Amino acid sequence: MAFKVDHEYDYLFKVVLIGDSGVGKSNILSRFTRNEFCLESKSTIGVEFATRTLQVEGKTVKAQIWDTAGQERYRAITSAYYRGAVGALLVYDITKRQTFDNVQRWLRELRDHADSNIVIMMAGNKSDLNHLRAVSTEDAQSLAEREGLSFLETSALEAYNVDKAFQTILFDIYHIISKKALAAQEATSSTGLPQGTTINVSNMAGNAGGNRSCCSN
Amino acid sequence: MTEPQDPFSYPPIDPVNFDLIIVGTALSESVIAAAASAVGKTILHLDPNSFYGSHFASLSLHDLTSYLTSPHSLPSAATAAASSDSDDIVVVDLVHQPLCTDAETATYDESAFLSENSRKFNIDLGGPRALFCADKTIDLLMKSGAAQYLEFKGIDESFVYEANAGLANVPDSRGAIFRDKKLSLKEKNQLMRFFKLVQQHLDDTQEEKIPKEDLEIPFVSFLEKMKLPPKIKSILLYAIAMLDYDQDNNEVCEELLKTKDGIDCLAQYSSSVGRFPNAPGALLYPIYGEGELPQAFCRRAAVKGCIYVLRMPVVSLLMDKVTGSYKGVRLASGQDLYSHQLILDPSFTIPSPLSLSLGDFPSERLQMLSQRDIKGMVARGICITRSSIKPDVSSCSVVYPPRSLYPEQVTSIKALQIGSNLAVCPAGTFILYLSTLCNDADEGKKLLKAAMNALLTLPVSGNSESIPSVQSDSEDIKPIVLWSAFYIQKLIMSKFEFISSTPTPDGNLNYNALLDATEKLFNQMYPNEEFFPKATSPEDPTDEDDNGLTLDS
Repeated sequence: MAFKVDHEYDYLFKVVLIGDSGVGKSNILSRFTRNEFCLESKSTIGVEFATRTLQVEGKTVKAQIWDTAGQERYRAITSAYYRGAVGALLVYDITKRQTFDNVQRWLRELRDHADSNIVIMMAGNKSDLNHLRAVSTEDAQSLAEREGLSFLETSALEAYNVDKAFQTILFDIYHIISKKALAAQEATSSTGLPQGTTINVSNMAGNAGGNRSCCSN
Repeated sequence: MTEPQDPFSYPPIDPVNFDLIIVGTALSESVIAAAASAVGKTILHLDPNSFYGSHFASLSLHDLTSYLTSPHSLPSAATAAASSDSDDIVVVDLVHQPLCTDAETATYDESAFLSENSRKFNIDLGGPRALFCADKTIDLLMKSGAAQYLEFKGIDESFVYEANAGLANVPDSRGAIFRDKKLSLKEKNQLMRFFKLVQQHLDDTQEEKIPKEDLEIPFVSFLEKMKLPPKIKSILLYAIAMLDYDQDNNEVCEELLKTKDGIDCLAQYSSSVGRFPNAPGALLYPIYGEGELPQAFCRRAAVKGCIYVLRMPVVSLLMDKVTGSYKGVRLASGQDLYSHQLILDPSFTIPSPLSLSLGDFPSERLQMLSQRDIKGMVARGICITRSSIKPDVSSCSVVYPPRSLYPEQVTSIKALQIGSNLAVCPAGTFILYLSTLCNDADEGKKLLKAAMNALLTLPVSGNSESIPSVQSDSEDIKPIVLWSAFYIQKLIMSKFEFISSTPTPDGNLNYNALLDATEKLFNQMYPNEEFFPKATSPEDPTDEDDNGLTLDS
């Protein structure tokens, strides 16, 4: 979903962060987009989304990564949060078993509200606290295989595997989009009804920016 | 953080003191949550439902059916012995009275298909509803920053239903008048001349104005004075100005629209046409349904620190024993929370104080809260169809002027068809929304069913697979209804007291009246605060372009 006209990328991918409160989603986001970490553990306020542009197989991809604004604390994430998301990073805390046990509920929420083709990676965060580990890597790997998820353990504190997690998601998204693009070209000619052009009322420039590939399911 | 034993229970809500507690996530409550968060108030925003939007929500087909047919009563609070021992608090239990009543749903065909695709529906509870491009809602979305969470598409066409003639285009611009095939040349000239007169009146550089005495007379009288024929009069009054009551019937129309207000309606309509380059007409509709609007404002509030809880009923009010003033609320979980102000969804009320054994408690204040200011009813209908009411048109609005269906029809009926390109239904299906004001349920449903039958047809039982025969009185084939629902919503005004309540969905197509009431309520609650001050407009999100990084492939 494109909110701003930007001439510097080929694709805009919306990726959402989900998982229990306190697992480190906001620090994963700030580590990936600004290379910052904050030890203070206040609930997420003020963060909308952040972006970072990367190269994926020669294409310039802008990742727009959405944070929860703290709405997950009492299970109040809007269904609108998932609109148009092509990827999701599902985070649990390796030192808190309950956050891993709740992964199943987050997967149900994704099935209810997100596109069925969404790319999901599960991330076991806080791997730097190995001495407090409550979820074995083997348990998590088994769940990931059963559910068809990618899986990595990360540490936002030490910046371990954070970039790799997002790169993996974006890579998988790009390949799905590439296949879809071919199918979409065939589907477009068979559609009889006028589809209508999307209107973003914030973007008063209208069509001034020209067409970009905005991957919104 | 304590690890909860039950994976589905919540941690206790922390903190327990707020500036404002809001119960219900309808559009008004969500706008106030965003507006109060923007000026730094601490807010707790709860909803007993598992979804946002209350009676403005967009729901899956299954959830919609559940919502309409099985209204819930409030549960008892979980045992909370410690907090109930307080000696200076009186607990007053709340009563939930559903806003949607007299609901009837019917599945006529393809029940398996509908069941399998339930989640692909986003059906508006408060429909038909759309935004004008020059709407107050659009300005509020931009001012508040909520617009960044929404995308819209234009409604393709606007129609007016004519008795014995079916759907006619609403000629809402010079180009549309020129292209229209049903207006006579004389009618086109009359309409062009009238629009030019209105345009000159609104243009500050022009000296020629509509005389002041004409501005005060009923708009219908002004149109007659202009010698406009009945057909054009009807289009202007009901399809463009969107009036509800028959302006030619003094018995039903309590307050005839004045000319100056009619001109304002025409002005909004005409400034809506062409405002956005990609909108073909005057109306916009949010992708994924109207339920996205309250969610956008709630997200805005959350980003500013508002705390959100779903699936959490508020079951009681906590009142000061001596002064009778509001102190806080008790949740279904048993937790007590306190705030300076409270906003309640209009479906919550309390029993008459006479029925409560409150002893010496000063109950006059409660008396006001138990009274609800009901101003009438809206009858709503929803139909799922397999084809469009107009070939090659995905989304369109329709107005049935008074007396266009039968002679005793005293109100307009509004209709809106939305297709799958707006992500509200599966491909190959359409949703048709209908609504009208009414004074009783049977009257309202009768009107809606007449409107439905004018455009749609029911499957022939036992012969549902056959192609319906062409109607002899029309060149169009009527779409087949797969599923329908009809229900009544009470019209309740907003109320400002020490405990406030917000308005219910009204019968209008857009949200202007509702947002006016909402802003007024905000100003009454916080007279020294500005409604969405400019400083809170969204900053550009951080954008760290790092073109040097390459993925290994």
